[in-house]
Amino acid sequence: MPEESGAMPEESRTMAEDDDFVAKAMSDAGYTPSPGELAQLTKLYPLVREMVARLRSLAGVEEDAPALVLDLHASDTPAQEH
Amino acid sequence: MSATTLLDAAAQLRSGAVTSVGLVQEAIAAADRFDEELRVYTARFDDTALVAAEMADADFAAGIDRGPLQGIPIGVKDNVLTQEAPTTGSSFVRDPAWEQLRDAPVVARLRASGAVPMGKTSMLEFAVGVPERTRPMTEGRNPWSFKHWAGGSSTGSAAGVAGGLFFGAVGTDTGASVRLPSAFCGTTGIRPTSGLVPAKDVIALAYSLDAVGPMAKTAADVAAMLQVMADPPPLAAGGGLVDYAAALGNSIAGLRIGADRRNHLFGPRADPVLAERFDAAIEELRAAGATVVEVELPNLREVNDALMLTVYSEGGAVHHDNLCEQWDAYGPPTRLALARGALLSASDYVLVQRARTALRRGIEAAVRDVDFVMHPTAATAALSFDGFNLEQLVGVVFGHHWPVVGWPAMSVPMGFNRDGLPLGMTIVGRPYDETRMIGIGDAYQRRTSWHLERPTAIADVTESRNA
Repeated sequence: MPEESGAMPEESRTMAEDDDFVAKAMSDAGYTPSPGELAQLTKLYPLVREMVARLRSLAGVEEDAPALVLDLHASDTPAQEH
Repeated sequence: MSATTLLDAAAQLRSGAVTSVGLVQEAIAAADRFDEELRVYTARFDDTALVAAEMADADFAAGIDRGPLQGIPIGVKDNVLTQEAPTTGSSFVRDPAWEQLRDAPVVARLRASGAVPMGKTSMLEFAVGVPERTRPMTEGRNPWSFKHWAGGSSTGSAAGVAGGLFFGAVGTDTGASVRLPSAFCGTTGIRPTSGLVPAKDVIALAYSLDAVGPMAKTAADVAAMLQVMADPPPLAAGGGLVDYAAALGNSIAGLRIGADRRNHLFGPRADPVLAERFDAAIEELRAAGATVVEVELPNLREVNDALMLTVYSEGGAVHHDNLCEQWDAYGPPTRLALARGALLSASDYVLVQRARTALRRGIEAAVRDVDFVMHPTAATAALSFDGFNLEQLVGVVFGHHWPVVGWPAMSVPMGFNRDGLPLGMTIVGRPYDETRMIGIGDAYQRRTSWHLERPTAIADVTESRNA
């Protein structure tokens, strides 16, 4: 099954594909980086994929770790009585 | 200012030694003298502050006492909505949602307690940018040296407290944005347990990482602010009314603190006196009765990965529409950081959140035998503006574990480096254990006076103008 837009499998990328992918991702998002900015984002893209890959190989992730959902309860509860 | 700390000022208000109008006039005078250099404010509320101070004084005269914040000048970070002025996030980007003139719940609570907002404080653009010469409002200077950065992203909040422009301030912390400027400016700041302080009507950076927290001179001061800012904890964490000042003045005998020296003291960027100062802080806590043992926090690189990938994804979502419509209005470092969210997929994002669970389990295992954790807030003191770039921050900012897992952390001053710039120490508790965490900070501050030292650059300006 192909991975959805927003990422490519780490093992099969080439630099040219990175260029194309980053340019398309920016275009699809509706962003308008300058050529220099696009080059910076393209240079950073492998680092972003490395970060994702490190987390994928983190002990415990593939076994059973559910997504962390913090108890961000505060928005709709009243203030303390003071 | 005629008082050193927020609670000193509160005591003077009640003794009649000062009035709120007098404190606000002093705060305005301090801003007039120093803010051209410090760049604390993006907007000042001089007129409305004086009116609020008159009301606070009238309440005192009528015997109405709303608590220690009544009549106290405070600053509010410019990503938190206030009724006096539009909120900018220290950016040229405009959004109707941020320009509404109403108080965020946290500001409304502070105002209801009698606190007097003096203005909006400068910050790194949307809490994710870097200091930029072309955007002076992102380049807040340090009261200890105007050639050095005050830290970020809650830049003006920390510099304003340290510089004596107000006694307390509201900050926000996604990666370390309360704790880092607190350390660089020699002040005390808390990142509370995630969700404890409402983030409604605060410009989000990353929903699952953001926390709103108090910044002031002392642990006792931030306890007084948190008392007003916080929601009740959830029922699962005990619920009910919490007294954040309950541990002030208490012994910390019997508490077990895990100090992570190995990961934090010996990196290539470490200040030459960092280890000496941190070890001295350990000895102070031992002398105060705590048992301090060494721990080693795991997965520092992966924690940083999880933090940054969550910021890219969530921050990219927050800013997507404005990035489409106002790309050029963002500072280049800010838009390039936020645009990285478009390089990540939904499955990437879910993977990162699952990794956060695995990281939390690793931290819990590493610190299971201690009640609290301590480490330096940063590897260095404040960074110089000369040649400033993003690379300088690599390996300098510590404490990314705590937003990733949602635990509370506070930074307190722990001395100075050889250039006379402050260094900071972080104390970390488990979720909703702010009261005892503050008690440790207070115990340390009762044995030291770093938090009461007066910034040298401010003192130099005062002396030169008085000469």
